[in-house]
Amino acid sequence: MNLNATQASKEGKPPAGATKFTHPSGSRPLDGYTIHRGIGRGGFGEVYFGESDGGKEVALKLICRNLEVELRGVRECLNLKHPNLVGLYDIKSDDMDDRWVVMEYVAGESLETAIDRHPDGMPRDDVLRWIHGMAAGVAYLHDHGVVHRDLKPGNILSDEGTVKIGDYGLAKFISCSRRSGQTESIGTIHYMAPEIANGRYGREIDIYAMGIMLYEMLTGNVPFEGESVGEVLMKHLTAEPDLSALDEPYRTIVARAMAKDPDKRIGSISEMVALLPAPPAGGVAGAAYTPHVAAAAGKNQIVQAVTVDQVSSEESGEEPVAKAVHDGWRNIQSWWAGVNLHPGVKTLLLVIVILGLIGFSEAWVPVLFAALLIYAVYWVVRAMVAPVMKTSGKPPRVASPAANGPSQKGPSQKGPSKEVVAQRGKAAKFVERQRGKHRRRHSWQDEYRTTLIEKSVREKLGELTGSMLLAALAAVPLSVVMGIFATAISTTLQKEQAIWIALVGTVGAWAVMLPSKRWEGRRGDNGVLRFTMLVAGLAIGALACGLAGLLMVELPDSGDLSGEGLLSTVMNRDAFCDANGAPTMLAYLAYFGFLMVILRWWRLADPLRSVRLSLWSTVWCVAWAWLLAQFWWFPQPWGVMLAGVIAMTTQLASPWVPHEERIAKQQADE
Amino acid sequence: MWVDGVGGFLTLLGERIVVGQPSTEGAVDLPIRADLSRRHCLICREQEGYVLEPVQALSSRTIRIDAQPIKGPTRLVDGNVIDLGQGVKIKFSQPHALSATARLDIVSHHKTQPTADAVLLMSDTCILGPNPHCHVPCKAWRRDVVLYRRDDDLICRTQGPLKIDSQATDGHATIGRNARIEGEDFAIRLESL
Repeated sequence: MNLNATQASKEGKPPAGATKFTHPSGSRPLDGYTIHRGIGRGGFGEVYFGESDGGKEVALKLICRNLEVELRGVRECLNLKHPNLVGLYDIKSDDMDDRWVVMEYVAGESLETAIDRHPDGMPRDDVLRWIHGMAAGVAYLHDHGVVHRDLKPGNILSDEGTVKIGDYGLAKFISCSRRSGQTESIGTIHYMAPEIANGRYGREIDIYAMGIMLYEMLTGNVPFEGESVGEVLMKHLTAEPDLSALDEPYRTIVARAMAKDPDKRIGSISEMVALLPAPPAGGVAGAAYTPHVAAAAGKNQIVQAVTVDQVSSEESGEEPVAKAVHDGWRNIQSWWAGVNLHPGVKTLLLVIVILGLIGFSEAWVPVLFAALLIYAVYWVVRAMVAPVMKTSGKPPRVASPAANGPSQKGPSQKGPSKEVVAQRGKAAKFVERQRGKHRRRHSWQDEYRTTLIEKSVREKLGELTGSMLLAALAAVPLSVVMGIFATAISTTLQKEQAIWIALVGTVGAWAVMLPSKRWEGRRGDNGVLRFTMLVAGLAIGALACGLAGLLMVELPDSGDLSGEGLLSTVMNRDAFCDANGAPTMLAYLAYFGFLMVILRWWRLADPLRSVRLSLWSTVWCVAWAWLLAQFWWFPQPWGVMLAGVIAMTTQLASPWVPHEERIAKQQADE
Repeated sequence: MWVDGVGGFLTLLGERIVVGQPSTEGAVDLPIRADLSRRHCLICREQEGYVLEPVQALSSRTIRIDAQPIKGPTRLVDGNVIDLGQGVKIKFSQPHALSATARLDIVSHHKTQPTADAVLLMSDTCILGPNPHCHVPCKAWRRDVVLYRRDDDLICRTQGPLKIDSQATDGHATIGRNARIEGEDFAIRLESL
């Protein structure tokens, strides 16, 4: 029966003329059945709603052509039983020798009307209810060696919440009628896989149609529309669907189900189901069918493994201790915001707490530093171990879903495995959504980065030389400014000291800019980048030490800024300074080496940084330099001053994409 | 009433409609295959409109209209959803402004006995046609078909040629209770129960 016409006509949208039928209501063309009304008409016959003499309501399909070859397909399906398939009862002949297919009468609406009711896409729960019911029915057909070949919304019905697939076993009729020039419902070609053009009718064409219908349910439109049959067919063959309206995991599923090459398509319905979020509770569209096809199960596992792995790597991106502290801080914030006190009292309390903290700083600061030290060690270890764990962790992750794979176990296992699938689906969806967001927001930046990568060596060298010259120029006034600040705090600035700062600052900026240029536009491997920076830092340290000797600079330590008072017990200052209180070579190497390692200096040289000279970045560098000096003694304020000079010089001298250009690119992107 | 390509409609002409479970005695006008009482409620057409009267005021058989439980007779307005309890939900509508005829659509999965796509509580007129405010919307049709009552007769009226039980007439004819009405692009059959 053409269920397409069935349900569409019920909503009053049949093709013109479909309301006239050969057999009038009340007639009995087929012995034992009374026709109540015509339901619809397709290219291969008419469908009626009728009742048997015993009172059984049935759908009667009158098959206009009467070829044994064409009836064979129906006969093959006559004894298939599945809750998600429209039941076929019998094939009968009438007095005129016309053939009738007696089948289950489905009173509910078709997917076509359901889609029509939601022109901008159906609610997600509905989509899942339909697609899971369809998947179960199609999986059953495939498992019994039947390819539907004509899946389309008009053929999918809903009966009391159960999805029913109709018109299976009639594919040959349809292809015949099309060849014979009859006007088949245009709807069919919208769901036709490209390989049908080559006469290939594998189960992949059903998966293609499922992909199209999933797209249509989510967006309200089919992916390929056109004025003519030829245009739509051409689009199936050549055009790529626009998936931007879909979110994950649907985007991936539709993209994979609609692959032009049937061999690259999702291989089985069960594989598609594994990618889908679980059906909503309560309204399961039908018993999920689990075919015992080993090959399908195998593919399934791989897909699941990939998804799980993505999720796990994303999870490990967040460090648990930092997260706990962050959460704790937020809890305190929300608690504080919720405390019902006068703002004045609150401010007073805050002041008292801060004063108290300052007053007892000797008691808690060392504890804090010790904790930070331990955390730093933990963090470094974790950073080194985590990538190793990720790779070694893969095989068991692959193994576990394989063991829980829904395809291998009986229906009794359905519940838990569904949950697993649901969670995995949700997680993957979330991850993908986050990624999608990120990708959208930064797409022009990404594009720009590729242009950076593509720059020739000559271009890069030219830029670098310019930046280095600029750095030398910028470092001089900066060192003077820094010196003035330092003077205000503790020491007096001498000429040699200013020159020394300017020189070391310049070299420091160069040391940052050189590797940054090397990796410009690339994400780079964090480990390698940091190691390079360590080497650069050691070089700066050695140079700074040499210059200090050469210029005979004295770097008197002002006690209140250095870490002497705080951590003298933890770190042995004596190892870092000689008898005169001047830093040794070791102090230089340690200080600059670690200073370069702990911060992502290359970000300061990134042409896509948000502002050319960021005060915050500078303050951040200075703060870390100060913190570092608490562990590895270096005379202050010279250490932090240098960190500041290097940070600012790098930013000033490195190329930067101006705002106007950004806006233009962004607009071009949108 | 069977409308080809559109649906089957249980058309009730009475002023007082008994809604309940199908029974062999046939006292139920609107039998619904559901866990209802034999006589669950009455829907009465009165001068100003329709009134729903619960038959038994049992707590286990509370009837709700738009989720509000009702105690006694209650006026029905267009768009009301009647919850008969036991999950049976019926939408009441009076689509056509000039006709008192109402339409009941069972929105839960239950079915009438015999199966129909909707129930028409026919007052004086019943309009089938391409517009959505018809009692039976038939989008593919070109013109309206109006069935109306005069005294005890049922009359069918439309523009264009009309065939009643294969007899050609002009667009205006009295029809029997088991008539087959055919037009250019439609076919309707009445079947008395």
